Amino acid sequence: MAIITDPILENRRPVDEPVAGRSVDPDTLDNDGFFALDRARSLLVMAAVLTLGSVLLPTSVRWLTLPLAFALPGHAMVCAIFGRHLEFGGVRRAALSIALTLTSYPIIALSALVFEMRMTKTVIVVGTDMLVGGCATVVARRAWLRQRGLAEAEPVSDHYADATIRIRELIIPGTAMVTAILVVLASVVVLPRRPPDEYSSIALDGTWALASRVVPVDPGRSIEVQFEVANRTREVHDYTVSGQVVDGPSWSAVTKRLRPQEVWKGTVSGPVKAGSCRSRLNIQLSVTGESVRHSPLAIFLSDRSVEC
Amino acid sequence: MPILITAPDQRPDEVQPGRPRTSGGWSMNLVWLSFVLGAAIVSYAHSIGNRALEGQKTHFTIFWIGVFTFLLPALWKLLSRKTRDLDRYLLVIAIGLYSYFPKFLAYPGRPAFFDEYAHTVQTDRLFDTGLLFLPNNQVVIIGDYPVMHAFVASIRHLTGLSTYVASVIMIMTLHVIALIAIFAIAARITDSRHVGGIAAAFYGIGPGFWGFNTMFAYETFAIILFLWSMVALVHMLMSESTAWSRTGWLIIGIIISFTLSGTHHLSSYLNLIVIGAFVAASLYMLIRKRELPENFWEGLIFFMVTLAFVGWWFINQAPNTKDYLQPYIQGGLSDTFGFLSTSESGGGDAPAQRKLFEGSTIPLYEQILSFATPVISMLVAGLSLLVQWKRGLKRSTALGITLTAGVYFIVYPMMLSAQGAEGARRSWSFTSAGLAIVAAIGIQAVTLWKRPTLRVMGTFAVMGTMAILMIGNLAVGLNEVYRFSGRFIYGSDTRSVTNEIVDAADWFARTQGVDQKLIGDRTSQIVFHQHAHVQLGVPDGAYPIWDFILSDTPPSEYLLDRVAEEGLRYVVVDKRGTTNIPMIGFYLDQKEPLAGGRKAPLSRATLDKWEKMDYALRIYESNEMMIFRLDQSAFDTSYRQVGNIGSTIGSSR
Repeated sequence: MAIITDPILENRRPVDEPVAGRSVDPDTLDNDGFFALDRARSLLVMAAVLTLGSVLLPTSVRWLTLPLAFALPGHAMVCAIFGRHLEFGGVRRAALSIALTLTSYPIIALSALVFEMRMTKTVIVVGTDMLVGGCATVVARRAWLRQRGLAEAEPVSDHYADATIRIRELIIPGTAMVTAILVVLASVVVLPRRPPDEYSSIALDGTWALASRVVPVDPGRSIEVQFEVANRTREVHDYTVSGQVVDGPSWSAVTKRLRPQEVWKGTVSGPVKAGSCRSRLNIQLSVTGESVRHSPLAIFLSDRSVEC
Repeated sequence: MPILITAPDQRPDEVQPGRPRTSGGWSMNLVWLSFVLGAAIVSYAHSIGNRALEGQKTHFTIFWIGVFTFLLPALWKLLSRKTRDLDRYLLVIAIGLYSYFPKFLAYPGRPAFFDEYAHTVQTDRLFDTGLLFLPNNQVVIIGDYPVMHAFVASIRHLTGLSTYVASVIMIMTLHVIALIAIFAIAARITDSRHVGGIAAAFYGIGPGFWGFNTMFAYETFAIILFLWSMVALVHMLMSESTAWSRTGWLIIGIIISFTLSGTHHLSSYLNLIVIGAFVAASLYMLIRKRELPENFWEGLIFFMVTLAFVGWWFINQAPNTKDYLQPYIQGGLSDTFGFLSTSESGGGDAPAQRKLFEGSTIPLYEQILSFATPVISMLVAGLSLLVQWKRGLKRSTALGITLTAGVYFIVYPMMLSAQGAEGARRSWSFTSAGLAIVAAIGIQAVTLWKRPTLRVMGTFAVMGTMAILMIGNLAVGLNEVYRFSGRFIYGSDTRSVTNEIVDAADWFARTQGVDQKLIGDRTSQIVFHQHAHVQLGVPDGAYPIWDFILSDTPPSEYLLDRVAEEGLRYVVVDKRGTTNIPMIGFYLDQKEPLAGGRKAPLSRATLDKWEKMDYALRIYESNEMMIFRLDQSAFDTSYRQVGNIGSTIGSSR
């Protein structure tokens, strides 16, 4: 007995139950089995669509498989486990399908792990196909047994019926939901927001960015060190980059005017002290009109000809 | 004495013939208009909040106007007995979507919370490598719980979406099906979709739903499995004893509980507790001869199988869980019992009691309403128990739900403990499912009053009460920094990530490659972890790599030897550490020296020391960021000299 009954609702029929126009007789469907066979076929078709979509579609449009990816494995499990014996249809059944989908991919991945396989795209696609295929087999077998009278048909749940929701009833709510989501997305772009922080940066570039220890060089030759300077401010600035070997010769200085968001890849050049085992090269960035004092980049050079 | 058996499930509101209305009417259209309008106002509130100066609070007011622009009309329709069932479902779906908008608007296009970064990286790595159980140095425990990452990585494989987009779609979907789960449980227990809709709305304004559970984190995912495990349990217990659907629900419950075991530790334990409560309720009803023994025995099977899963996962797959949870549980419980015992004995050696809203920047009215929330919740629950008692508590499921709701109130004292508060807040997301259903039973009684005037006044009162609960619940769960983006706040997780740090991390990934071992302040670590997939150094007392950031002097020889052994090669320094104390109380790690008790920022010497470290190559420099590469061949330590491990330092220049 119900704990609470709603006297007002007792005489009203919920809308996600069968209504005129597409009403069905559950018992008839349950006995002839065609419905179940159709559902098995539809599961296989949807699995094929998901597989082909996820494998063949280009990345830019592969998101079209999203509804199937979020619901198909769970929907197949609901069909296989309950058949037509679930107490509810419509929205709650769809939500149950999604909830079971949440469990399906991790179980496929863990099952693959048992066989020492990684969770690759192939494993997920094949695993999903196997799961949906298995569920479709259960659904089809159940129908086949009923058709031949080999299984006693359990009465269909009193509460179950195909969800019948008229599309036109969803137009206004659906439009409102899509519009609200679009409003939210658009507001991120359209409405003003705090501007990003302004700064300037300098970094080693090219193979010099990979310097991990003292770099041996020829002392007699001028060496070029690559750098990258970025102007992440909203104004034009003059950037000067200069090199200086500590206790050694000065290197060239180069200057360039950078527009906002512009990146400059350049080099500074100069010699290294002869006989040096570890000369520190400072690469200094100066920005006109900026109060920030940048510390120099620091790398270490040595005379290739010296045994250190 | 014959066993009293409850009548077979009658669903009077579902099986009686009738002619449903095919339209929600103009009032429903107005509600849908308010949905769009409210979304626009909330969006505007976040735009203002993002640009707000310190002390400005206009965005809070506009935010609440936006929220209630939709929520109050939606509540009105859900409370009304005349609303169509389809509209109830659609409103519940809309509330689910609506509740995610604020989080998205606050931090669009990127993860925001500390845990979100860790889970994003974990998912990316799983997608790239196909390996489950990969270690994660940012949040160590998540490597043992790969279910959510496996799901999102699978969605990425199938749809080609990025981790961020897949996670946003997933969380929106999770929010919707969470409310549908509450709807399903309440509708099944009470045989009323009216109650189902009210319960879903009550959960939708509940603690965590607009805040903590909008995070891309395993708890957000686990709560859904928890709720659907409850759906399975309730439907199993309420099915006829011979029905196939009873077995079906048991299978589904077991599948979900197994997955939950590999999703999140606390959620799986709470699931076990709730199943246990239902089994206890079944036993009680069996002893009272009001239910068939099948309910107890099948509930017990569900419980035992779930216990086996949880135990197996705990022992075999997640051995770090105990060490991870122990400090929180012990600290929370001992602090809480400390307050209670000392307050009873009149003082003594009480642990430092947490000051609620200390330093909070949320408006005063939110703070006041948050204190009113537990009192109002208790009153609503009390009213509901009265209604249940009057109508008779005839099913174990109703008793089980009531027990679950009871846990919601039991943990309240833990809010006074710094460590316990986190646990209490997190548990509410679960136990409020029970509270929502229990509360909905009482609230529905108000909407069924016969006198129209009383009914309308009662409905307005309920709406006002739920609005207060909504404000109070959100205020308790999240402070301003987590709710609104805005001006930079050093060491605050959400507001300390700047484009300057992100650009540095992108440069690092482009030039140095991924999987490099790195240490830095907390914000730099999470950004570099996500953008450059670095392996973070994990400091502790025996491996104090925080010295690279916190110390005025170069690291000790011992530390350099350990660093060389561990292969740590990069240090990221945020210069703002010398002018700011981090909001969260520590620079790198909760175990660092002076964590939580620092009175002044780091000294300038912490930056100057790098000039003395000849093994540190400064490879990146910007206004606030520096990146150093450690030349391990230049570590001139006694150990390395004795061991004849190559060093270039000390040689003649």
